[in-house]
Amino acid sequence: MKLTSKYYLNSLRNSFLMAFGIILGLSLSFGIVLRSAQSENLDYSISGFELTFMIFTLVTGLVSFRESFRFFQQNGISRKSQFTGWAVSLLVLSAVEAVVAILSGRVLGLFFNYRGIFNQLYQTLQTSGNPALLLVQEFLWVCMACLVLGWAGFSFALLYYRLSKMGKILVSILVPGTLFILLPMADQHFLGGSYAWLLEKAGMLITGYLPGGIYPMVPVAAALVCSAVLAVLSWLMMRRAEVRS
Amino acid sequence: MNAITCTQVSKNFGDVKALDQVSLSFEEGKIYGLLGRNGAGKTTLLNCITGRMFPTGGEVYVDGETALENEKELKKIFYMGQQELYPEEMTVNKVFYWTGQFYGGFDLEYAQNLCQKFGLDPKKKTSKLSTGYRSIYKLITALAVDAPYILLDEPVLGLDAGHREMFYRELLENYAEKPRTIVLSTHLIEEAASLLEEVIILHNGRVMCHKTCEELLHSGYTVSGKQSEVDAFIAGKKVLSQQSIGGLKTAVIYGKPEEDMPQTLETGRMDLQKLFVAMTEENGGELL
Repeated sequence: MKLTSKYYLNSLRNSFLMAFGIILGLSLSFGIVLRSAQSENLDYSISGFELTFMIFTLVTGLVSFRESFRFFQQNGISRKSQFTGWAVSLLVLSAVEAVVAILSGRVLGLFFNYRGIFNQLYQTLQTSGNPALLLVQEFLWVCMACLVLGWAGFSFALLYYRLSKMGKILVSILVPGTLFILLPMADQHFLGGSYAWLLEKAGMLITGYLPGGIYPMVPVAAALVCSAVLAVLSWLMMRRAEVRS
Repeated sequence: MNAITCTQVSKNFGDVKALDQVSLSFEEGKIYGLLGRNGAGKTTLLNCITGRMFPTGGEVYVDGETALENEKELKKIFYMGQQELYPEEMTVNKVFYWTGQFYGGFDLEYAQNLCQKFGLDPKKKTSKLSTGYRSIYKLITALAVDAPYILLDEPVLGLDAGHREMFYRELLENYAEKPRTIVLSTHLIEEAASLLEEVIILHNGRVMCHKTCEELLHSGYTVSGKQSEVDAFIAGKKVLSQQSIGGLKTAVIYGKPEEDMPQTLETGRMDLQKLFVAMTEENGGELL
């Protein structure tokens, strides 16, 4: 497990630094341009580290399975070690991303009006809440968002790896077709708004905007549960995966 | 005794039986030839042994322990397959580094030496190498790795005659220095024949024959001479193959040479490739 994690983290290092460099460059460029525009009484704010890292982790999950699986199989590594290695690496990556996103945001905030997604979503808590607790909540929020997206990408990649050609075509058509066309249509005609209600509840869980107030730890808990479910599904698909030509 | 042992290993792909209750052993410190026609099940067997595929039935043991998902035992096997399983962006040097990390005891100096001998630039990415050099970097990895079982599936694929000679020489030197089990699955039987101690022939997913190379080579002989005399001699015998050039003829016969051979006919040693071809032809199994 130690070696598989080492391999995963090693292969992620360069692409992570590249993603960080790009978003840092973009933030600085936009910050400089917008700050000079502010002198003409224009209000501005910049953000982007969290979102970039979330997308990066999703893509990492999507591309990490096939190549690593084949490489580990070449080197006599069991599927169990591969899986635990990935789980540890993803957790480390998500934590590092959260720390880097928060630190970068704080540093950029010294020079520009930088407001990360967490600060934008939970603006009302910023003035009233305990700063140390908010920092921990921000860390957990970004970390868990990255974690769940990493698992989503990984399990999706595994699903496609395990499926036959026909299965891939069916999933590619049926899943988006059902979610975005069939269910909304059925909701309008037969379900009486149940699907929309479900989406609304899911939205509340994702944001933590509940009827009783705003709770940033609700999406953290939801992401943790989703990650666990996706991890179990991934393992079930991985334990019988074979090397394909 | 230390060995890779397969007991009743089967593998089905839909309705196709790629392996049908294969039982065999690759014992410690021997060089095996795993022979078979295309689709005989050689690669599938090696994939099942190394856990790249799951057998539909049966078990694989390494040194008495089950091999399935058993990392401790799987680390004893280095399998160089035909498939490219290393990441495309990985350089040959990185392949050596990671193989050393995973297997331990990788002889980097020896690997670098072999790179020089074969004219391979280890700084190159594996995806940028030609077919021949892709085989070469994997062969070098297999020779330099410290694993007691080395499985080589079509190891000389894409190699020119010079590099093939070099590889066979290096393999023998390596084996002499550090005896271990080497399984060669190849179609170039004539070239590899002199290396092999034991031969396993797979046919239609089953073990057709498992004998020492010497036993197999003594199971027949060649006879040559004037066409009419050879024709008269081979009448009623199990003839594996025959070839005529001008008025002369050579025939390969299954069985032991007769003591009262006609003086005008010459006898010679059996050719493993000819025997293999004859055995794996329709009804060839009857020779056994």
